[in-house]
Amino acid sequence: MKPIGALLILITAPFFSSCQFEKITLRMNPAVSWFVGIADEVSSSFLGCPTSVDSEVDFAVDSIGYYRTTDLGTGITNYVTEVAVSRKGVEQAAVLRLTPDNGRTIDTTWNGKVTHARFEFESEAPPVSAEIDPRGGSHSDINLFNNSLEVSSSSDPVLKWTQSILSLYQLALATAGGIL
Amino acid sequence: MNIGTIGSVRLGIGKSLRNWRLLLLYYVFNLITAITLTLPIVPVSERDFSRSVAGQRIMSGVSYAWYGEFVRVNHSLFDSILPQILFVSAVYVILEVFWGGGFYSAFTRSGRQDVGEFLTSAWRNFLPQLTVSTVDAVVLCLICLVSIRLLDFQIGPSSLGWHGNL
Repeated sequence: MKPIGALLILITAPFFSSCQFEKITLRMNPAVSWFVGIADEVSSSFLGCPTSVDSEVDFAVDSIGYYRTTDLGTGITNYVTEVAVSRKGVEQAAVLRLTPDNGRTIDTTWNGKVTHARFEFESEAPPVSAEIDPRGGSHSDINLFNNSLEVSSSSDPVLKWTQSILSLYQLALATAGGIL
Repeated sequence: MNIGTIGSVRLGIGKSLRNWRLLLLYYVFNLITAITLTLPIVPVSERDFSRSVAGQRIMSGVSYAWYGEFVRVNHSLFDSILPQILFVSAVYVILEVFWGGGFYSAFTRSGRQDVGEFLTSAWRNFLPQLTVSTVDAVVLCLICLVSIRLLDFQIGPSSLGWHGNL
């Protein structure tokens, strides 16, 4: 009886599916066009108004460099960090965050009116990293990997990432081997 | 002779341990294939993670969202290495089927096999093993298709064009 039951479910399922959401399909890797489509669908169906979702943007931190300054009068040492950022795509403002090596963060807002900009930060400790749009406010950013730059590079994350991909492939191959 | 569930498991473990070289061969083969598939990704991984804050974030744990983001950002790379992935996968599947015949022979006979006997039995069993594997794969594909279709009915068919390329 089980196969017959399964066949019945298969045949009758379309009649029970909700017409309201039949045009909306979940996606594992949604792109901007998917969100725009959902927003348009929902707004036109339920709100009756068009949406104004702009196209894609790609923020990037292009370079980070710093130098040390010492006030000869007070003897206080500060670090001046220069961060170059760029934007491709639609004009959009974003927060630029500098993280010095003292656990604190310094935020400034870039209006995003030009495609390239340079910022200067002054901090009591040497910088660790700079990150644009750290809170992920721009949902239309097409590349999140270039949103930040660290002063020094590390091979540990690369090793961990590569190892995780390797494990994933091994798992897939072992599964395929189990089936075959 | 009915040996029961525990007996079957014990027998299986015993035979696997006796044929440990085959298990090693299987593991090494799997590892080499996985490394071959991973190597083209290393340069872009270095670019994306070596100086990015994302690198520090994945150190606390890799989630599937990162895989999705990585594939999405580097889709042109994956498009370009797709023929290589397909070729390596095809070689893997053919060798897997070939060795499957040898494994079958090694696990069903009582004595130990040398390399020559293993390869001979693998060659002899290749066609039957290929037939069984093909039927297996077809049945699995059908089950997957039916499952996806049922899931589609639950969530809704992809009838609109605006997400067609995802």
